Amino acid sequence: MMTMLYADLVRLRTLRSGYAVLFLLVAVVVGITGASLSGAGAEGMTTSTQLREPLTASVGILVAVAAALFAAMRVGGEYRYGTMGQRLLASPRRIRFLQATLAVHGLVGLAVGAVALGAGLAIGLPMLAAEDRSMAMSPQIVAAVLYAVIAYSLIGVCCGVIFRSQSAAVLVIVGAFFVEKILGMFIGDGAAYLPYGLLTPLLRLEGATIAQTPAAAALAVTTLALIALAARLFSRRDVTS
Amino acid sequence: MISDSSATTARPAIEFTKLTKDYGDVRAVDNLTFSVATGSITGFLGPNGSGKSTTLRALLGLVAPTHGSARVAGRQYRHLTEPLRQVGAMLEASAHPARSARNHLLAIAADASSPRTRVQEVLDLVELSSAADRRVGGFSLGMKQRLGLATALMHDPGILVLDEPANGLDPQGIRWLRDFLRSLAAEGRTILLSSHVLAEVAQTVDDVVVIDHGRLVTHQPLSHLLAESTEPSIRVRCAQPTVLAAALTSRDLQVSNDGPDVLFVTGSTTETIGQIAFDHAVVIHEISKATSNLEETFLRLTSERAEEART
Repeated sequence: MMTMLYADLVRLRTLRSGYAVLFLLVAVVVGITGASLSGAGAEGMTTSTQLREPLTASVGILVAVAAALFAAMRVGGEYRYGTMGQRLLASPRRIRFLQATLAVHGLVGLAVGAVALGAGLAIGLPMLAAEDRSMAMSPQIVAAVLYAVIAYSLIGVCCGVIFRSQSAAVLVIVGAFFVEKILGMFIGDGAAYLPYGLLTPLLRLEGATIAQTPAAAALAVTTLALIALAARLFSRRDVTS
Repeated sequence: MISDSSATTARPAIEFTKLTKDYGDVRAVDNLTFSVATGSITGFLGPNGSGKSTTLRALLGLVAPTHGSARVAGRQYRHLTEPLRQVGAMLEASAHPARSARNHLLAIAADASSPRTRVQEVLDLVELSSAADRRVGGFSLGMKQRLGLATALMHDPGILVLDEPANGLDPQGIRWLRDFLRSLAAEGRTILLSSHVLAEVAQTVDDVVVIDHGRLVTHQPLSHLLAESTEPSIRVRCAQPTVLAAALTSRDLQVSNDGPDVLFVTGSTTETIGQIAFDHAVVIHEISKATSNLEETFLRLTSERAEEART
């Protein structure tokens, strides 16, 4: 397992796109956090929840979705460039290969989430301290943000495995957001249990209709269900390209 | 040099037993049985779409057989303890286009914890060192094929499975590949290489397996096939081919047409044919000995199978 993890990390390290995505995400988080907190004290930016939201939402939603897209693109890319066969020659036990891929992307999600959150805090905390304000960032919220990024990274891996195509996986990940919005018109509060809807209560953003713990549990169930589906399909399908 | 100890045993390196693979209603491989002797180079031949790649993918555990089995070193690929050190495979020239050849091979080396120094060794081996730091996306097909060979050789396996390694190579590249494969075979490796062009592999392989429509057409030493393909025939260009053809077939000679005024006759001599033509007042424009080449033999073998499949 360690060999597979190391080999996958070598593959990540030897592509510039990974570094580019990380840099871009950190820049966006810093930009959103800085721009939002420059208006601290104005209407809608007074409570700690409101002050925290630009950072938690940018990392917990934006970075999480980007991590999902990155994972889906990487796994889908293995099929696109015909390298999946080569990967499975090295790791013919497919479930172990999937476990290693999930572990790598979980770690990448954790690292990217931590770096983005750290960068946002490095910008936001001094800005708020200068105005004697606080975003009351608790360890529980930090953990929830990182959990969201990790879970979405794993969901991205599953989408790549299930659809075996970069464009299809990206379309599903992005399209699910809009599908959820449409479904929300019909199922009301039930939409809070859909993958994107779960992020609002999980990150303790304004407008949450369920508590953080059931949201975390529901996201875990969704992720595990997708992993089970991906494992089932991955272990049975032929690799023909 | 070779890490696989199986190279010295008598057990076949590769065995296919009644291998069958269906894709929906389409039977890609049909009850295929043959084996590859340890230390031999076997050409796995068939027209495009004949089931070669599916067979090789079944051997490597990428495609699940519908029936039968494919074993390498006596085991299914997924049950090998160190698969990359036993089997090196080149299924197609595949690498991420944004990665350099060196970085691609570094990742491959990491797959089985081979030392980083091995990357330079295989780059030198396939004569790709000068392009090692270029992105694979900018490689020519020939360079990609060399990179694929370097990938297959990374962990110094005793068995090599190469799918169409000569595909897209120019004559110079094919010659290089031929010499390269010969040098690998001289080290005692077992090589199974597929091709849809017999002439590409004719100077390299010991044995030939021909399949068509997923079925085995023939499996024999190349020397036997060569003997078969060099049976002499006589090429006759004449003014009245139908008259001459009738006269020749009435004497139990095999006659085939090649164009409106050309006949190929087997089992006879120029003197006999000349005499028959004279007896029937047929004007001969040209008469000469001709030998069918390997390609014609290959086409004949596969077309016979195609005919059987149709009927």
